[in-house]
Formats: sequence, structure tokens, C-alpha cells
Amino acid sequence: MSPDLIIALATLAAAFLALYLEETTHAIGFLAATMVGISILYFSISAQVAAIFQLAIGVGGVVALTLANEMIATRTGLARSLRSRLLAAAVFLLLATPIFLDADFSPPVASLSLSSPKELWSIRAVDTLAQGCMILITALVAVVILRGEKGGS
Amino acid sequence: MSYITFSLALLAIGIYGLVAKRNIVKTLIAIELIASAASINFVVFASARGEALGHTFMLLTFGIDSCVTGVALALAITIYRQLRTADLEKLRRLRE
Repeated sequence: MSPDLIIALATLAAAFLALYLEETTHAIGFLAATMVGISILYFSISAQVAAIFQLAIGVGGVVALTLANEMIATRTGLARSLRSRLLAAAVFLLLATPIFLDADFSPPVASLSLSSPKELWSIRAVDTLAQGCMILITALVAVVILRGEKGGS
Repeated sequence: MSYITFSLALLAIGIYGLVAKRNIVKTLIAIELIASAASINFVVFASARGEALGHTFMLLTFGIDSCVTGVALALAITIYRQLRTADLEKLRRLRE
């Protein structure tokens, strides 16, 4: 069993638990574990830039989710039944089986001389347009929220 | 091939969360997982072909994904302040 396969299975398990657990604080913790696992997998296929970005974006997302969760969390206190837990384990095994069956969990062909900045420059128009759209949407949402708060107060 | 299977499994988990969960935060976690599954495809295909274009698109995907998460969280907090609930089913009933 290769280390990549173990990391992939652990990442899948963490992703599944992030959605299965009722307590959202624990779910966010498992989401962070998923992000770390994906980042390690990126490192294993020689995509260091992607791995670092995945970690950075993952940390930002987890922090934002944690803060929002603290503001809107409601304690459920519901305990899972044994049947529900067994069903969840069965579903996870079903999802993980194809990865188990693929005995050679090896990375694809190792990356050659990658030059992200050069490629980024070649699609700079798309990049600028996407960033502009995102800034516009974020600004619009901020305006809507602030207007809503002003109307409420 | 195995990395594609992994990404498919992650996508399936994300879709399960999107369909089955009623909490807004859980729904956002599911969206994050789906976006991560898409990013894995970009990186894997780029590494397999030895081109950097896939990595570049993955960086764009990351930026857009984080903006989507931020906007969705802002909307979730606003909804919670107005209606005092984070349950999507209750929100649907309120709309009706």
C-alpha cells in the first residue's frame, strides 16, 4: 500500500466526516484535514505551487467558516443511531473501493518544466475579467448587506 | 487514472452534502469539496501532460471559489440576522 493511497483514503474519510458529523465545529476541523490531505497529494505529483495555494486558500476558508459558524451555530445535541453509523461506514467503503481496487495509486507522469507565470500571462485577459467580475460581485453583496443593516437599524 | 477516481469520490461526497444536508455551513463545506474535486482534475491533467495551463486555471478556480465562499457566508450571516435560522428547509418554508 503506497503512502499516496493512504493519504488519499484519509483525505476521503476526512471529507466524508466533514459532512457526516452533526457538530459543525468538528465538521470544519475535518474540512481543514481534507485540505491538508489534498495539499500533500499535490506535493506528491510535483505541483508545489498548487499545494501552497491549496493550503493558503484552505486556511482562509476554514477561518471564515469558523467565524461564521460561531455567529450562527445552533447546538443540535442529536446522537446518531448505530444503524446510521453503519450505513455511513458502508457508503464510505463503497466510495473508497474503486481507489482500493486501483492497486497502482501512482501519480501521473511527473511534471516537466512548468512555468505558471508565463501561462498566466498568456491568459491575462481572462484573469483580469474574472478578477473584475469577482470584485464587482463582492462589492454588490457588501452594498446589499450594508443597506439591509441600515434599513434594519 | 487513480487520481481521477479520487476526485470523482470527492465530488460524490460533495454532492451528497449538497443534497442531504440542511445546514447552511454544511452546504458551504460541500461546495468547497466540489470545488476541490474540480481543482484536482486541473492539476492532475496538467501534470500528466507537463503543461502549466491547468495549474493556472486552478489558481483562477481557487480565487473564484474563495470569493464564492465569502459571498455565501455573508449572505448566510445576513439571513441568520434577519430570520434567526440557518436551516435551509425552514427558509424554504418561510418563502412559501
